[in-house]
Formats: sequence, structure tokens, C-alpha cells
Amino acid sequence: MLNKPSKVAILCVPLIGVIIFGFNNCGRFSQPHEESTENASLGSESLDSQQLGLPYALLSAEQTLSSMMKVTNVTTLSPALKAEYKGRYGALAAGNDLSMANGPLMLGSTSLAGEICNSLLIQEKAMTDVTSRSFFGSIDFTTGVSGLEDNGLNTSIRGMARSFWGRNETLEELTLLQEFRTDFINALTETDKTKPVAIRNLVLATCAAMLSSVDAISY
Amino acid sequence: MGKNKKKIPLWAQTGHAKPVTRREFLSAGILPFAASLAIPNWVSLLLGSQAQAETGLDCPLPASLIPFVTLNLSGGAALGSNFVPMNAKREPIASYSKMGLGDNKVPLEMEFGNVPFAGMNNGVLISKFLVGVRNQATAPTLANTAFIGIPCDSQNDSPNNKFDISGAIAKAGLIGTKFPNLGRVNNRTGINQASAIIAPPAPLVVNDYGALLTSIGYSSALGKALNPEQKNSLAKLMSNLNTIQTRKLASIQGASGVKKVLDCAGIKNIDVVAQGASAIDPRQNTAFSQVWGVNATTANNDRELIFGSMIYNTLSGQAGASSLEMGGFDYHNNTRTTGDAKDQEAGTTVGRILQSAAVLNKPVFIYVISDGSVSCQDSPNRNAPWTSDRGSNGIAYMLYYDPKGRPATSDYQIGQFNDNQSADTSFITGGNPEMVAAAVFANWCQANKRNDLFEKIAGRVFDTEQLSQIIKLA
Repeated sequence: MLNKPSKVAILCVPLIGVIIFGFNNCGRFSQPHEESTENASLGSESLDSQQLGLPYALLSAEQTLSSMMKVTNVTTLSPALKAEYKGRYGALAAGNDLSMANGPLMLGSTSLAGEICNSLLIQEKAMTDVTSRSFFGSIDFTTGVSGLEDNGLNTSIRGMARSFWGRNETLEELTLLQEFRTDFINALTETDKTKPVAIRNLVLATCAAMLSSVDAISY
Repeated sequence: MGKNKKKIPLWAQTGHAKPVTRREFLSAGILPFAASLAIPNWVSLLLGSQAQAETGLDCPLPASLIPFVTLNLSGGAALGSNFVPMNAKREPIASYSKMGLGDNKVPLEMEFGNVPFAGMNNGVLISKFLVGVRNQATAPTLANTAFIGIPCDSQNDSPNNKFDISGAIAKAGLIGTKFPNLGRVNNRTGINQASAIIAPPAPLVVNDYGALLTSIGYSSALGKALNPEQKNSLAKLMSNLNTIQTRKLASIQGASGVKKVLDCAGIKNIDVVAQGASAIDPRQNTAFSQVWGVNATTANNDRELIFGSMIYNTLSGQAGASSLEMGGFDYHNNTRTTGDAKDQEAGTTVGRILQSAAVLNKPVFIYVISDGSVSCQDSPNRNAPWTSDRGSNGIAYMLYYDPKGRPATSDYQIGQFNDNQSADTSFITGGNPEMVAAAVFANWCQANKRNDLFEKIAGRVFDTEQLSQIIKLA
């Protein structure tokens, strides 16, 4: 009969071998540097996220519009939204390959998101019972930006993150959004800071940014 | 702590069943933990750290390279019946009777130095392509242009010919300061052709001039609500937010290139938004506007305004390569009239591109391609009507304008035609569009005096002997 330490050793030694060698399947021993073109031959380099088998994909133009409307509960295509979508269509993605993203696509997505957020703001501001608002119930649109409380904006950001990204915002993301708020307010004149439209515009831009970030336009 | 009070495992705390499969072990963190214990630290020294490599984002920067324009004539144009292809000895082939030019005594009209085009027949120039070019480009412009024909068998009426070379051109460093590559078709290449060597970065598809104008800024609600400083802050926020959100890609094998594409796009937008949309309208330049026949009242969806805008921004370095698409070249309708009109239209566009470069005093490289070609019934008629597709007598054109003078060439043709009135597929570029694209890229690198770029990007596609056969620019 073997004693207990011997039994453990017999079991563990092969197990460690299996882990070391078996785990190599998941390792990156031969991962090529994507930008390396040394010894390249025809058709050797691909950035296509679908060919690479990445578990993420980009929303196409049609999917982007549909998704943005769905997550904001905006159901009506306003003439301005239609015009913006038509104008940006060529810049939005033709397919689902994540590497199809470029500068105009990102600007186009944010601009389109801005128009959807504008519809959302109109929709929610029209609700006199603020508790029935889905995203902006915590925002007082009647004051200047000095009246905007941290909690109010943060609650709104939380609601948008959950709906647009399917998760809570991270501390890092929240910090960026708060920095944006500071920059946004600093870019206003003292007079403009007192106008309620400043809060509306800040919320519009924050909503557009979150609605068009990578996590909102990919799946 | 009592023995009967077992610690509840993580999988149970999170409401999951006991892990059984590899996937479940991975998600429970058991395998990574075991691996981290089992794999010694020196392995990471050998493998390198991806995170370390990604700390400095190396976004591509525009290089000083010759602007590049592709013109795709979709449907199978009769390019081999405008430029007259020759055999290996640069003599006429036995007959051109299936190519709508009759016997082998085709009258020739020389242009671009000593390049043969289908010449005068009953007092009329057969090559309508050349008619179109001459109508738009002045004699001094043509005198500063080199032309090379590249016979190649290609698939008829197909978007799958790998003729597009915009990926390699972008990789070489031809990147716009404001725009990416510009295209006309909503796909990866921006034209109805597949990419050769490297898939290009996604182009901006220019449906109308307004789309080009608004593509580099925020419009509509955001455009009105935000002041310029706030727009800059928004672009910065988007770049930073996306950099955080693409971090998940960094841990996936092969995805760092995709992450770089996304991150660099955001970084570039910060500059683009700050610069605004000034200086992208070709109508700011009167001479340039006259080349394309556009003015302040021209509709945004006018093709000449769209083409002119694309060329203007490519020539000025604000866009990368431009890829223009013209349809209607599947013109074998038992007439020659339709085909001639389309050939002239193609020539007109090429003439305008050349003249645009002359007006702006910039060099330009033009690559004219099609998918397949056409043929007629075997006929001695030099204007026989087009009756069917015939990809075997396909040809691509390469033109290079330099304001300083006509670029020197060693030949006007790469490869040759055979007596079957077809591209000779025994030559390296004769039966493979991707090799044609590589040859054009090699000549563009040569024109830039940057042959190092060819080997770096295309690798050893051609050996030294083959390179000497396909590089025709001095």
C-alpha cells in the first residue's frame, strides 16, 4: 500500500505535465506581430476581425441605427435623424468586420447618436413626471450648469451604461465622462453657464458619446 | 474554524453549477491559476509581453508619396481595343479580328511618347478612350505623362478579381491627413474589385459631396449644440473611451492590429475635428473647378463634383488613395456605339485626373482596371460591334504624370499578347490580376524611389529577374 504523500505525488506529477504542455494550446508561442510584413507573400496579412475569429463584431450601418433607437427607446425617425443617417451612411460600416472602423465611421456614429439623443431628450423632457423618465429623471433641466449635481449626472450615466453597454460603467469610464463635463463647462462663457440649454447640451453630448463608443456599436 | 463549516467556492457563490467542462474551468479561473503556477516566469521572457509592446501606440503617419488613383470600369471594358497590345517582340499580333480592330494592320495613333492606340479609320480616331483623354488633358499635360499597358486574363463581370492595390499603397504610407482612402462602393476596397496583397483600411464611401464634407466633423444636433472647444473635448473623450473599451481586444490572439486600427482612428479624429472642414472643397480652386465643370451651384450628388472632390483631396494629401468606380462597361449589346461612348467617358475621367494634377502641380499615378473584357464576332471590320464577354483579352493601364516632365520608361507594355488575341498567361502577370496589382505597386514604389517598400510590403512576390521584367519606370 502506498502512503498518502506518495499517492499525491503520483497524481500531481503527471497533472503538472498535462497543465504545462496542455496549456500551450492556449498560449501565444507563435503569435505573429500583426504589423510585421517580413517575408510576406500575397494575401498573407489580414486584419479582418471575422477572418481572425475575434469574438467581437461591428454593427453595420443598418444595425447601428436600429440598435441606437432600440436602446434609447426612440421609436420615431425624425426628419433630422433620417437626414443624418442618410448623410453618414457611406461612413458607417458596410459589414461586421471590426477593423472596418475608421475616423469617419467613429465621427459618423457619434453624430448619428447625437441626433438620436436629441430625440430622446425631447421625448423625456416632455414627461412632466420625472420619475417616468428612463434616462434623465435625475437631471434638472431648468437650471444652469452650476445646478447640475454630481449624483444627478452619475445616475443618468449609470442608466445609459446599463442600457447602451449592457453593464455598469467602470470607474475609469466615469472619470473620463466627468472630466469631459469639466472641460465642457469650462468652454462656456459665464453667461452661458447660467442658461438651462447648457445642461441640455452637456447631457446630449454625454449621451452621444456613450451611445457611439465601441461597446455600443459592437457586439 | 469548525471543519463542518466548509468555505463556499466561488462558483457556488456566483450561483453557478460546479464547473465540469474546460470552458467552465476557464471562466471559474481555475485553469489560468493552475497555469500561472505551472508556467515559470522565464517563459514570459521568451514570449515577450504583448502589453509592453502596446504601451506606445504606433499610428501610421502620412508619408510623402505619389498620390494614387484607381479607376475601375465595371463590367469588362474594351481596354485592349483602345491601347493596342503587342506581342513579346512589340510587334502586332497575327490579327485583332476578335478585338474589334480587324486584321493586324491596325492604324496606330501614338500618344504618351510612343504608345500605340487604335488610330484613324475613315478620318475618325478608333480609340474613344484616347479621344476622351485628349479632350480633357492639354498637350503639355500629356507630354508629361507615361503610359504602360498590362495584358491580363481576368474574370468577366466579377468583383473577385484581385486587382485592388490600395491596401499596399496605404501600408506604404500614403495616408490622408484628414480622410482615409476614398471609394465609391460600400465594401472594403471602395470599388467592385477584390484586394491584392493586403486588405486596405476601410475607405470612406463618398455617396455625395455633402457626405465628404460632414464626415470629418459633428453635424446636426451635436454640430449646432457644441462650440468648437466642446467638439474638441468630445473627440478627445471618444478617443479615450474607445481606448479603454478596446482593451479587451489586447488579450485576444491576433487582435492587437484591430485594436490599433480602432485606437488610431480615435486619435486622428482629435486632430481632424480641431482642424475643421476647411480646404476640402475643390471649388475653392477655379482652375480645378473648370477641369471638372463644377461650380457653387453644382448638386452635391453630381458625379463630377464627387470625383473632383475625391481627386482634389487625394492630390492635396488630405485623403489617401482614391478609388473611382464607373459602371456600364458590360456593353456587348451588338453595337459599338454604347461601348464607344463608355470608353470615351472613361478617357474623359482619366484626362480630368491628369489635368487636375497639372493644375495643382502635383504628380499622380493612375491605375485603370476592369473585370474581364469584350469581343466581337471574328471580323475584318475595325469597328465591329461588341457581342460577348471575353476576359482573356483583358488589359490594365498604368499612367504616371509628373509635372517636372514625362517619367522615363523602358517599355510601354508589361507582358504580351499572343496570336490567339489573348493575354499571354505564361508571363507572370498575364493570367493573374493579383500579380498585375503587385506589378503596379512595384512601379509605384520605383516612381517614388522607394523600392525598399515593395519588398517590405509585398515580400518576395517577384524574384530579381521578374522584377526587371515588370518594372518599366526608370
